[in-house]
Amino acid sequence: MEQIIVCIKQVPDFSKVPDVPIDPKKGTIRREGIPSILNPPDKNALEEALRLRDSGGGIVTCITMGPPQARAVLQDALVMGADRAVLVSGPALAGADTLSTSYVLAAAIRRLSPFDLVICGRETADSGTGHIAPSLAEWLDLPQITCVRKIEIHGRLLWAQRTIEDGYQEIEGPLPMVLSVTREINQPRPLRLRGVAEAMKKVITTYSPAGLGLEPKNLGLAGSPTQVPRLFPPRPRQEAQVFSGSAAEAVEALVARLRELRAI
Amino acid sequence: MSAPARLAADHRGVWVFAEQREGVLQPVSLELTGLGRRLADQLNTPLEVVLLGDGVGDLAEELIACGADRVLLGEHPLLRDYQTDCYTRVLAGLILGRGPEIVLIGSTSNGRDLAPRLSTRLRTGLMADCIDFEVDPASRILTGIKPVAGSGLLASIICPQHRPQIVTARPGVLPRPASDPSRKGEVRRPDIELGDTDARTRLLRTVRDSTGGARLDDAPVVVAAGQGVGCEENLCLLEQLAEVLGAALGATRPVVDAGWLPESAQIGQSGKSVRPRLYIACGVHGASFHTVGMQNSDVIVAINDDPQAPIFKIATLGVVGDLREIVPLLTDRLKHAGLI
Amino acid sequence: MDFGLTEEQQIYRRVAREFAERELAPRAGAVEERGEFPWDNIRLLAEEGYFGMAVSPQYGGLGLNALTSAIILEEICRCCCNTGAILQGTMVCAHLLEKYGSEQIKLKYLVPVTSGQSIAAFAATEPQSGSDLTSHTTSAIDDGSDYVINGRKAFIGNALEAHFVVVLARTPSRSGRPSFSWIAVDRQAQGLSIGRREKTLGIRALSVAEIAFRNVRTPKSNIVGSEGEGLAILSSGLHWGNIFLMTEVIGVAQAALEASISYAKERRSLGVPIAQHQAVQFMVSDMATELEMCRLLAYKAASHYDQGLPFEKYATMLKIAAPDMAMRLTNKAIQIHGAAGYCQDFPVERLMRQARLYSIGEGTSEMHRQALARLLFREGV
Repeated sequence: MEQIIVCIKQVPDFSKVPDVPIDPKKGTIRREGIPSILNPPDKNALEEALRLRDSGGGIVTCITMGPPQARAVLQDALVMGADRAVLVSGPALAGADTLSTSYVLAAAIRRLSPFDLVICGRETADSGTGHIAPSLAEWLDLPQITCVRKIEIHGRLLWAQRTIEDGYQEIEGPLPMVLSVTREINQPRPLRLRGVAEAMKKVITTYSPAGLGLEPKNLGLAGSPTQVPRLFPPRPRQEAQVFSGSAAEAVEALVARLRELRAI
Repeated sequence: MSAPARLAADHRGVWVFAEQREGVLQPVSLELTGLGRRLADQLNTPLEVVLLGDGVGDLAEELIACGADRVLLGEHPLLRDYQTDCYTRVLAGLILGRGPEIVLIGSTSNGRDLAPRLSTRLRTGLMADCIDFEVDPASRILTGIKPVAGSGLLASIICPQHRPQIVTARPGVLPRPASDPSRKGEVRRPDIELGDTDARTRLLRTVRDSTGGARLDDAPVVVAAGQGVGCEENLCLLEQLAEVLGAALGATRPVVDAGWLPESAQIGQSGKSVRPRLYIACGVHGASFHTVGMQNSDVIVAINDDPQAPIFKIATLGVVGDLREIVPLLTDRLKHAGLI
Repeated sequence: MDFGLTEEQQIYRRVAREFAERELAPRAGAVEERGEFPWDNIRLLAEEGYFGMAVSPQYGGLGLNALTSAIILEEICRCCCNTGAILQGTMVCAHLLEKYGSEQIKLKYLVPVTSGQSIAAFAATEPQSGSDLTSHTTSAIDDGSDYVINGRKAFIGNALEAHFVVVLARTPSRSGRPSFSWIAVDRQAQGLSIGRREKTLGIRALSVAEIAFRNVRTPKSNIVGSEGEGLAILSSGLHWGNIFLMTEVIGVAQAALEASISYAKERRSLGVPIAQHQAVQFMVSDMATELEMCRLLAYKAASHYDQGLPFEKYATMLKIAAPDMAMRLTNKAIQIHGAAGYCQDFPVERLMRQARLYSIGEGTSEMHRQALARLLFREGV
């Protein structure tokens, strides 16, 4: 293995802030002041890359597209053990949907060639589309395997277990390839105190869209075929019928009503 | 991605990509055919369903019965099982050749593998995991409605200029259409050109999980465990209730993270969507991450000791109390009364 | 003056927070209630290198400066005060050894600390005299190649688990004025006995006990610094130690503030979350403001220390301000929680009990107020 590239993203920490404020104009999450973390499935992606490197050699490069504060997730990745980190950033990139985002990431990944593998987390905690890996694979004209829960490398052949609804598939294909991985695939190593000094010696490179030769019309909101015209609260539902009294009384009344509704 | 040279106005027709696995039509494909029918009627344009496979012609009948005007049956040995490269190539080719304005794809594991690759190849927008749809016959713009993560709000999403407008919806979100065997429709068999070198990945084998307990996806009754269950030991109370009801067990994200139930039981934004007849949420707080996956259930019962828990806002019926007391009482009551 | 933390410090904070939240927070309540040394936690800290974080890499430490170390310690204490207190006690001894010890003694005692093998206790206080050093009676007699130590030290933290103790003892004086020295003693030394473990108000997993010295022999090479330097070392070492001691209580206060904010958003009365009641709003605002003031003072003291600037005044101010702030804050935290705040199911009652130590330990607030006053009258503000 020469190089494994891991795409990571900084997302709001929904476990700390369950209800996030929305920017009504852009229809996007208002990030300022919200604690942010490395997207948990991306940690699994990074962990898998580190394991492959630890056993098979090469380097692990993490890449993210985001505002300057996204450096924090690259730093965390370096502390975990990634060798290099790349931030793709620029004001023109804001508001990009997944097509534009994957377009930009693909250009940056090409700049990092040669590489053997691109690994993404299955989806992000915020948008949760799971689009990036297949989109990237298309831009890079590479084979893809999504929802991977186990990987084995044999020479230039990659063997994977792919999770499907009621089981799994075993699929193989040639490197280089793009993968998305599920959280089942591994237990990410923790960030360790001793890793920080090491991480500080490593480099975070910043790429700008202009530096990658990308045209403004393909970036950010301008380069996104999809738009979010508005946000609105869901239709108010009828109030729940809550049964009171002692536990036994409430259960009695509940069962009676369930019968009436033909739910049981 | 500036809009391509071909005008949006030139695109016509609503398409559904119907997914088959081992010769079995996936339920979401029928759900989308139902939706497609409604959209096609509103747009006064035909509904075509693309079905790829090998020797699956008999499935066309059901698609027509559910509303397809035409089934494009693409058959080839290399299409027997879903494979990214072949399916993307064939579907993209068909779309470029025939120019539909809307393509509906089910957000199954294969659908999520295919749709983003396809939309990228076509340089068009993908609106994923929408729960509802509206179309404006005048502008012919499809609006998808989807929940915004963690906010409890909904967003409308559109792809105004690029074509086709590609949309995915999760299984179990849309209603199943009625099947009318008397409906008439056409089956066309476009030429499929595929070579061995087109498929870069190879499916070696498929392994099914042993099914113990009712499958969550189709279960008519679901009993869900939330963080309020408290500990793994208390799960047995819910398991007993599920057994009496013949229900499948579901879980919220915190429960799966704690390892009390497997990831396959997770219901919500990053789990499954279900629409059972009866959904009993035990100790479920009701954060939007979870409720987006079950809010269309026919009857929702919430059991929680916090009367302010958001789950009561979407529940049909509720009991405020300690689930360790309520659930066994409920199990007992149902056991002894006998179920209809 | 840059009030921002460096990127490196922010990373350390994140790493320490993640570690503390994952490993320490879930057990913190049980650790306090059981009142037993949290070996699991301490082993983890030892493995990860926390014990040596402020010690130079030359001796196996991470070589972090005071400010960065304080940031890390705050994160530890935000999740588990007991663990942080045990860590800090050892860190102070390590600091004394690194700054004043001979190479020989560093090899013998400091390296085992940084490699996570040793816990340490420093013993200054005596049963009859805490702040009043001149009435200390523990003595170390010169006996050829050894010191022979006699006396009793009281209220010593880490007493039961320490592998070695750094003791303040009177040594023979040549000038006629009292002479003190710091001497390292193996816990297993003959004649050293640990008294009954105190049952304390809070931080119950930290063992607090008397240490009695009966003709305890320790090689003269175990002296930390020079003979007679004891009080000077105490003064400077104590100021350094105070920054970290106060960082502990800042972490505790932070936890209480977060708990209060979270509770106020959930708990409802009169139809709204209590966060909408003005009384609660005012309390939370005051709590956050005072906490930030103390934190900034801690950062200033640490930062001055790191820059080699005079820092003792700020450390003293911090030692005066932070404990009182933490008592006011945790008291309000309990009030915000109402009856629940009085119950052990919620963390705030133990946070207040834990906070109570800090106006007493490592020099009472009264003593520090006196010291600060002397300094102010001597030097101006």
